Amino acid sequence: MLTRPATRFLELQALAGLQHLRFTTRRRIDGSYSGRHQSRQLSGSGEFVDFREYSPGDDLRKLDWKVMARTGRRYLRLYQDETDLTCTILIDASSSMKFAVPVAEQKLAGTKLEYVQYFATALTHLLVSRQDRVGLAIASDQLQHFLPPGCTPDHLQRVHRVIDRLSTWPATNLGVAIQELFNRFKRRGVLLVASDFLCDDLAGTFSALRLFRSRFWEVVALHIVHPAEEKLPAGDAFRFVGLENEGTINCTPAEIREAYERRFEEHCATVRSLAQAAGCDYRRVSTAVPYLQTLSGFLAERAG
Amino acid sequence: MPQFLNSWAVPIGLVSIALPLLIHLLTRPRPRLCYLSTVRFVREVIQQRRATSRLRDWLVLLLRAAALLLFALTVARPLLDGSAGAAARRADTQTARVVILDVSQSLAATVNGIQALERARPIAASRLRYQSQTVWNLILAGAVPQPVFERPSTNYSTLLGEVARARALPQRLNLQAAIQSAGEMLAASGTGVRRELVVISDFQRANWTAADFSAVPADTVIELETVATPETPPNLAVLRAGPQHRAEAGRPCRLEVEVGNFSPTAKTVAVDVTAGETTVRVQGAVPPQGRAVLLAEMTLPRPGWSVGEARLVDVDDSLAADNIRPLVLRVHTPPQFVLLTRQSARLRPASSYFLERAILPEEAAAPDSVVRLDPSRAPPAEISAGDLLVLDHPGQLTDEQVQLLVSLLRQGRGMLYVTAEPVDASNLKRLARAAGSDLQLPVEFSPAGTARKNLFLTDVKQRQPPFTVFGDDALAILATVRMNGGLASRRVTEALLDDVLATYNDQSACLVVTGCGAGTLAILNADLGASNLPSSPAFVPLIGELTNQLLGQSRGLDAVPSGEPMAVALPSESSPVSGLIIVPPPSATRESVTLGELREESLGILWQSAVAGPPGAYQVQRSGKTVFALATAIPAEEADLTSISREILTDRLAGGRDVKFRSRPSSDTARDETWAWLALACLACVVGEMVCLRAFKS
Repeated sequence: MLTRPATRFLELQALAGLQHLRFTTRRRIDGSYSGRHQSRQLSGSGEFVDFREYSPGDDLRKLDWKVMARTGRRYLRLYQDETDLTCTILIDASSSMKFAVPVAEQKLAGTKLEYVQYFATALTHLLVSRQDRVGLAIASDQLQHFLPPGCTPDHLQRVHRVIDRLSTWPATNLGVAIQELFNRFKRRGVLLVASDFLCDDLAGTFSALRLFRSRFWEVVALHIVHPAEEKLPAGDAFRFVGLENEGTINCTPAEIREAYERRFEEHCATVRSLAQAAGCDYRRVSTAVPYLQTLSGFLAERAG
Repeated sequence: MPQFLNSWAVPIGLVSIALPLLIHLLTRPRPRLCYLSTVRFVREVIQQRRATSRLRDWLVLLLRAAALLLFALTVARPLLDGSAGAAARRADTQTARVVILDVSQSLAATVNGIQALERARPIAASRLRYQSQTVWNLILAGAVPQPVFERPSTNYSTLLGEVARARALPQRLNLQAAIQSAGEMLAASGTGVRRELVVISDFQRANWTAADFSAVPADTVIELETVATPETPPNLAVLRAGPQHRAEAGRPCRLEVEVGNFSPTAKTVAVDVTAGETTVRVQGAVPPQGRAVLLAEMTLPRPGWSVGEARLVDVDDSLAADNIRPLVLRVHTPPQFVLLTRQSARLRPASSYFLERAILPEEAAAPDSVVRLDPSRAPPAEISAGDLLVLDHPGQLTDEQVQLLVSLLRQGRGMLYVTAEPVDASNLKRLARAAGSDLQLPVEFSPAGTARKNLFLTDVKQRQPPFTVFGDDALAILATVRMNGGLASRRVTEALLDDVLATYNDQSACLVVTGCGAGTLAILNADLGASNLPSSPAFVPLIGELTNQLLGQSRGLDAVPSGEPMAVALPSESSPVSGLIIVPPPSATRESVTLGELREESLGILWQSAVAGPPGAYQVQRSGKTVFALATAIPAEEADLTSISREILTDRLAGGRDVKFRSRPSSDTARDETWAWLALACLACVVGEMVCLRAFKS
């Protein structure tokens, strides 16, 4: 157990209240080692759960000989294995994640990326403390950084260090990055994508996520939304500058306020529907909500 | 080229079209720099809205510019005269045109919220529209015609400016003076020139019945443009206000207020009469198209000059200006009568005794009100102290006494001369000779050759004072009167026979009342001691009314017509002229008032002004004390807004000339209302802009 935080995003005292929560999966998973999560394997080392009629080719070691002796029928005893969790967190490090409060008057602070850094640091800490394995991927227009899953304290420190030193790239192509990440995995696990999904090719992004789903990964899409993005700032005229080399544009917000809000909500709805269509869990996260509250709600919801 | 009534508004309007652009550029906000992650959404939204925004911006810009232009045009008032073709046909002819624009008080009459002058203005402007080889002049016709230029000029823009600035004046229309002025201008325009006279007026009957165009050259084309409405607008007016008799301090004073009702229905009116600090309300009914005299009684405590007004209460008529009439009142001390007679006071019955009793019928009257003096012993100072001089059997007057009496008459005293003796004929001749041109008796008295007995009255002017006191019964009351004595009389040629108020059956004069300077001389030709008149019930009222009439000369002047030349003699006690100042009424602005001047003349101080000031009470003061007051008022004839008929103008008054009469019908009314349509269009543009902004949700 770590006693000294290796990163400024790790708030151990605040996380103490979340120690009783655990990250659970909705489906049975594949793991490398025994753990606290239900394995997809029903082998003989776990807890008995059921009988099943024998089929040719089944492992004869699982045959219940006593039942066969009494009844003359052949049944197999089924046991639920428990295994560890492999969770990989993919962080969108495009420049749009650097968006914070555009106008000084507003009392919102912090970028979306900072919010994700806090969230990811806390989540990885909780996962490793439960002996689960954690991997990290940083994506922009490609996969910028990847740490394979691990559960050692050293690994966790590396993960935290990478999260702490995150910088942004002025382009986004999550689809390519996810596809690249997909090629690096041989086993199943959980993929948690934290992004604002402000990219040109949303369809490509979710097709890449479908690859994970096709390999029975559990995919969670965290849609990070800044409150200042939901509504345009108040004022007469602004020159808006894009964060991903999108140029500038002059406008009077009052003239397009309603249309803009409709367009943003449309974007959020699109992300949600694409995520749900791809079989991903979708969760919209507002940076206006404290990350600990978001994390506890997220874990509690998954625990059912 | 389009013409405008207020052409100055056109360049302003053209410049103002650029105003929306200028405002847009000046008020364009400076954008603030702001980093945004969702610029792609902003761009998408703007691209979607760009087409509609541009459409909206152009629409708003066009509507704003159109609204400003239309507003400028509304103010400029374009003249859409359809007579351009006729003008073109006359273009090759040298033309001199004089436009007479009536600016008298009646042009301020309002019908349907529009003044008659406002209807006249565009007509005048259209007649002053530019045409080649044409010279114009404009005469603003009030009490005194005011030509803009001395002779017709090509400077039509100045004339248009004068038309735009013209205002209805509180004056009557001196039509003949205006026609005379126009005629002189047209006659001086030379030969081979087409002459045109355009008169724009309401053709008020009171002003136009005596119109005479003979002063205008015979070849002049006369066009009369009326701005009168087909229906005569109803009007109520205070036509006259003043004391019925001489006002005396501490005694009830009756003020007459004559109200005219120039409408087809009878009206009940209320008039607030104010004199000094006292206000009295009188009410009465006024018949349709008639007049009524209302009497207000008030007591004024102090002698001196008192100013006030008579104001119609709660009246909403066409002409508001004549609902108020200023009032000036001279409050006298109780009068003193001087009876110059040789008859003894103890001689009864006697002519002088009858006169004394008739002058002071009340027993309670002050005993010293009548001072009986024997002319042979009367000191001049005591004679001069009398407000009314009564001469009965005075005997032969000395030259000094004749000069004194004439002087007193000229100063405004009244004199009643009862001619009973032959010497009275001599006295009257000497009085007439001493007065010179100030006294012109309509008859010449001479001693009667035969005895004059049983004379009765045959010709009595019962509609004139003092016989008005009897009303319609004057002839019946006086029928029993038989007069004896007196003088024979012979009519003087070229004298005013109207001054002979009653005549005997032998054609000699019975009662003569004539002016002498500022005073009045009444001659009663009879020996009262030998006649039955003193025993008649008519005697006391007749003598009372006669003395009131003679004293009434000092009741104060009637109001002087505003805008007309004025010459008024101030009372003798006003002298000297130094130290006197004229104080205009508080309502008059300093620019609008022409006070005139005070001049010392042989007869006293004369107050002269070429143009009497606007309606109000003017006071002549010395050291803050009023020594004389005078009211100017709108002439009463301006209150009757009835127009003269077209036939009378074109047939009877035209005098054989070709006079065209034009009343602007509905189409011309529509032309006059062009500005209203422009204003409506302007309003529509403003509303359209708001609808546009609302429709585009801006």
